[in-house]
Amino acid sequence: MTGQTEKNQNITTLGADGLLGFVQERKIEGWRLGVMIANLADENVEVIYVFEKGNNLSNVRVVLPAEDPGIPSITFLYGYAFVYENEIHDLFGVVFEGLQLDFGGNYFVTAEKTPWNPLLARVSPEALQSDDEMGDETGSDTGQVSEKAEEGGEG
Amino acid sequence: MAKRTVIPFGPQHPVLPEPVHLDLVLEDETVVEAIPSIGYIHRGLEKLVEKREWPEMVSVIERICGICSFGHGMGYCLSIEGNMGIQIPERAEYLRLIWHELGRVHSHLLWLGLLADSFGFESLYMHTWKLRETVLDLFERTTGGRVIFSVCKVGGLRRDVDADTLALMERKLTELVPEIEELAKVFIEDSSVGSRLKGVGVLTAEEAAALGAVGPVARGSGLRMDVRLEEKDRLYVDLGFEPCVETAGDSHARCVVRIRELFQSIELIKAAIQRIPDGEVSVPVKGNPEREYIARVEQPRGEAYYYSKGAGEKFLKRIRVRTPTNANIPAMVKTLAGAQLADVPILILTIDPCISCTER
Amino acid sequence: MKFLSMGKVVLRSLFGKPSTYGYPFTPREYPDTLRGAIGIDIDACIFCGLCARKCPTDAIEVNRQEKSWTIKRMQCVYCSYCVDTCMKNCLWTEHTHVVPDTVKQVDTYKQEPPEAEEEAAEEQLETPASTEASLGQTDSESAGQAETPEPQEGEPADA
Repeated sequence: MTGQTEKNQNITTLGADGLLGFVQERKIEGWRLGVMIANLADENVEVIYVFEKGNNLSNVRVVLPAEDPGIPSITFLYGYAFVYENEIHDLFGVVFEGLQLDFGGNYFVTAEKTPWNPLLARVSPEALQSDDEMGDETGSDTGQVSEKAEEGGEG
Repeated sequence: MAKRTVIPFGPQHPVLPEPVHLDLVLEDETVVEAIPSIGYIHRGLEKLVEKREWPEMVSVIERICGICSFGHGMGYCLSIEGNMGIQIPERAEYLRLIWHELGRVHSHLLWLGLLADSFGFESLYMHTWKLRETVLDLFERTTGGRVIFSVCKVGGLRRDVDADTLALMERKLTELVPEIEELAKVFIEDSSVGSRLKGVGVLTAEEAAALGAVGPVARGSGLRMDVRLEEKDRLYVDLGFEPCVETAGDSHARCVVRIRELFQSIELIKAAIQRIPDGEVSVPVKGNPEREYIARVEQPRGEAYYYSKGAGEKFLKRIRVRTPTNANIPAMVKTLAGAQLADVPILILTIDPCISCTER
Repeated sequence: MKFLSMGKVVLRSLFGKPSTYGYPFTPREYPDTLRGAIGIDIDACIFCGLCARKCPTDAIEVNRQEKSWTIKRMQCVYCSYCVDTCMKNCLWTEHTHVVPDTVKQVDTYKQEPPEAEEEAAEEQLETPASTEASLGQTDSESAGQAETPEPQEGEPADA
């Protein structure tokens, strides 16, 4: 509480290819994933990963184009990252390649798809109407999610 | 293979404090898996930074949740104070500690009542909430509000508490302790309560670490994890703080952790009231936040992150609040797999869900 | 393992008096530190509009041309940022909350021009209530209150 000295507030910026190496080092050294923050800034979507161990933080930022953001998923290392990645996918439209436990857009239910990212090129009128078919989609997603859960497990 | 049915649980359910939706896949009475979905209470509060200047944003962030309200206000103020490099006076730190721990007492008493309600023990629920009224009256007398306090601001606090009121607070808390002990004995030792809680939702220490659990969920499984242990919180370390850890990993252990934290918080408040120094409670603040800063606070439910990004203007660029329930959802989904249908309310409540915090 | 460990508590509450008090028949007692409804001394107001800018819920509207100050009672969340910001210290918090109602109350206070104040002062001389505070202040407030329905506030105390 006294003059917050959370060590290491620096956020290093890497490309999407440097991300997996950084995350793998953190996993080996025993850091926990704290939070994944997404932000829309100047026509880019930036995703910030915050790792924590002891009193230290280790942060990395990846900048992606807002029209078509894609990034590799880290759920094969940190299984519980699926919570953050699904939410960022539902709100910002970022596609995480290799996401285990993919809810297919039904994790964070909003009236409009990707409300935080209006620049997304893929938002179509059909996608906006999909909350009428919520019941059927959940049923079909059950099959999809349970298959992935059996394959992938909890990381 | 037996036939599977899918039952929707929530968002409206009598036992849930806040709306969350779960699709439970059942075989007879056993839950095979649970698929969560949230978004029923998303108010887009983080987007309000574009419309509210950063000093007034405290009142928006406080209203993310009614139970964790003081923690949110304090976490946001810590994040902006770190951003601008402000040091608050020592009396303000002590008062923030007192109110934060009183908030923890309130939150755990509320949770104990809801837990009793989830397995149908309504008279225990009502008696626990009667004790909570004493704590709410203390809040009203010191901060001016029962649920939303509006007492934190960037640079310190908005109002001070005089010595008579602090003495009254100490007296009332001392009177409260034997009444809580009477009800705590029911939670810990009663056989009917134990048969609903013991052995339900077991999480081993490795599973808790692999699932990213925080707060009492992790401490109930044997992980010694608490934000208040770090050197920056020297006040806690000076007052002799030690986290409460249990090793059994089931719902009963998580209940015992929270009850022990209740008594520990009351001791911390009384120790802080003895040692509080005199002085100012706020410092003047000039300028605007310009950097990014991440602050962490130990909420009653676990570790919370507060990220703020400023650009030298009156309006911030981005804030992000990551609350502990968000990190405990994988642990909840894991404990639900393989549970009985009648235990589902207990397992949801055992992580102390605050869904309005999760969705902001 | 214990059985019936709640027995003592249950028997005590069965034969004791209830822990609740009979609200609304027993009135609620608020402490002095409560952040309650907002009151204004309209004569001291200079209509700078700072309170309206700081209000997080946009419950206050200030009109400089008409010299009126409006508050939506049901939108106010009692945060009292307006009270802290007012440069002339003409806002204060009452020690009660707004009474619950079925209509959303909106209260408007207007500052009367000086000639209307003197006429109103001569009319109000027979009412005994106007002898409490200074004559001009109380009269313009009762003139202001006569225009709009005032459900709960009697004579507001001096700031």
